[in-house]
Amino acid sequence: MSGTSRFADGTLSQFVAVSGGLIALCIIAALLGALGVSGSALSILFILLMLVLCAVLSGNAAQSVPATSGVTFSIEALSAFGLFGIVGAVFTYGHDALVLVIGLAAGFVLSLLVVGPRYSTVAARSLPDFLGMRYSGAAIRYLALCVMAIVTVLFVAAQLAAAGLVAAQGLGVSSLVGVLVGALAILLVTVLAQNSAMTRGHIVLSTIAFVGCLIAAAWVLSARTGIFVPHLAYGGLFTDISAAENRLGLETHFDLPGEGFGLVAALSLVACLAVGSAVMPHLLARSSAQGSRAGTQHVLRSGLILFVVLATALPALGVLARVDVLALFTAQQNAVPFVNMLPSPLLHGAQACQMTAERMAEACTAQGLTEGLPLEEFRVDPQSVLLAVPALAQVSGWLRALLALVCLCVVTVAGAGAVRTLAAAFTDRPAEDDKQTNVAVAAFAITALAALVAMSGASLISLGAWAYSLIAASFVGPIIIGLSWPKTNTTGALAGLIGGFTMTALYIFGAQWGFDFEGDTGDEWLWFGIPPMMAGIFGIVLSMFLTVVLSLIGPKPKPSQVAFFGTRADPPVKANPEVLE
Amino acid sequence: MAKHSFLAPEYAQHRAFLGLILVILVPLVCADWLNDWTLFVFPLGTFVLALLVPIALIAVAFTVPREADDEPEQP
Repeated sequence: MSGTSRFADGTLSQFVAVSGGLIALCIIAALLGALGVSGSALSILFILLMLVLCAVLSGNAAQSVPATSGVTFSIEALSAFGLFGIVGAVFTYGHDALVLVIGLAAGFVLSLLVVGPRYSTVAARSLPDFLGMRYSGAAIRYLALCVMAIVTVLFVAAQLAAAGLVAAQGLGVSSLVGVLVGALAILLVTVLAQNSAMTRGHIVLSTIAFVGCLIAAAWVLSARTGIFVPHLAYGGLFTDISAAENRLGLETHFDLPGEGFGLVAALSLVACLAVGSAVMPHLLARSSAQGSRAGTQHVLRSGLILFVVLATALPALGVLARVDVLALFTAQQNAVPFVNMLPSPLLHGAQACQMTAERMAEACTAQGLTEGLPLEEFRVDPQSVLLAVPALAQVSGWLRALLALVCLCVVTVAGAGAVRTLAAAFTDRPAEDDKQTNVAVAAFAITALAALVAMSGASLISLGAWAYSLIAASFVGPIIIGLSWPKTNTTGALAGLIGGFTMTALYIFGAQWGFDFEGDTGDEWLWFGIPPMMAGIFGIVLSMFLTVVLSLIGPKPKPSQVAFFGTRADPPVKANPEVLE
Repeated sequence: MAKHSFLAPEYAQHRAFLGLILVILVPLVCADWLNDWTLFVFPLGTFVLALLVPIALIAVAFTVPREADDEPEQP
């Protein structure tokens, strides 16, 4: 693929056409809003339009060139976890939460260095297949498939939980409706795509998500600061935050590091996200869909640039929400009117943390406060912040609709990518028409299971973080070390996979619920101050240790396994039919 | 250039890996460590620092040696 003809296939014109269509849609929605159509009605209209696009365009295979794959890849890497997580975490934890952007972006570079190009040239049909070729024995294949299934269900559940939030907090209907709509969109894209890694549906939905997110951020920020580029709109907002913090007499400062997670936890989160996104199966499949090392490098580089453009704009929304909530606090007279001033999504988020109006009033009374609720007493679920931004910023209803559309597009693209990859790994057969039914059945089962998990009430940020932690801890040994160090043997890889996964799962369980199976009872683990979101760091360390030590003392790997480490000029390694069987 | 110099082309991958680690570690550790000093204690300074890391990561990504175009592999 030549660099000069990168946009000669119409990629740029497709991007411009979809962006133009989205802007026209926003103008029509703004006009309808001016005529009295509510934001909820516009949101429903937008979501129905998205479902129609999924149904019409997902059956049309598109050319999977690096530029189109880059847009889709950046949205799949962001996912609902990044979209809701970055905004919510920046609102809640301030400076330290920017490590989410850093960790996810570092995953692209790690993949570029170690995994992606090599994975693309090996004729493996799935990640378990790849591991089956790198190591001997079937055990590692089946264990990898189990880990992949658990992680994918958690990841897709996080996407569906986001769809539920859009329904419950954005539209005021049951979250079940949102979960079902999200599941329907994911299944439409997965099943209609058949064997195509890239369809017009992927391109259109990814472009809508990418451009829509930037439009929403630019509109909200420019309305407040007058600066149209969200990445540059922080300055004035920080002055507002500092002034409000001084008025409220706060000892913590939003813009200083170490006030949120702390350095150790922040670095742990970076490690979990970087390794997790480098070995996440559906991201590996997307980046290597070109089938060549050079193509994979193009996808990873273009995806990284687009991801950074998008992800560095999102913190601006969290900062803006913080400014508006601080303004509400400084204006409050007592707790109950303050609660009434909160927009619906934020009120839902507060109630998720048991911050009801009565509890806030009790907190004021107990402390003898007559001037309202102190900020330290206020708790809000970080995942609720993104959907509260339009209401907090008091912008028009069309922007709410656009944000709902963006969320659903991100949910669909990321969820469909993960479901398709796992369904293909389960069926693990060459592309044939009669096997397509199996993929559809597997996709339906995975989505249904994820929907059940999403309806359990777990936070989408927790579900996403657990998925990244588990996949990072499980595969850092077999994949990252296994592809960097030729002496890694099957025993070491197996021990790393089992040890890393078990350690992380135990820590998540112990830190979240403790062994009385109930949260917030005081028996939860908290090693080195690391919350369950970053549980993967313990698994990563253990997995690396086990892989290296057992590879050093165990038998040497076979020459066919070491063939993975040929020079760059070596021809691609072919799948061993015996191993595949 | 000396044959075994770390700047030799065969070490480009190692340099990129080292760059990845340094680009993440140095700004984060400095932001936290120097917090008690005066260097980063001004509104916006630490945010700018953390937001520059993803941009630096793009630069690191372009230091990874480019692979030659090869024929797509049919699965």
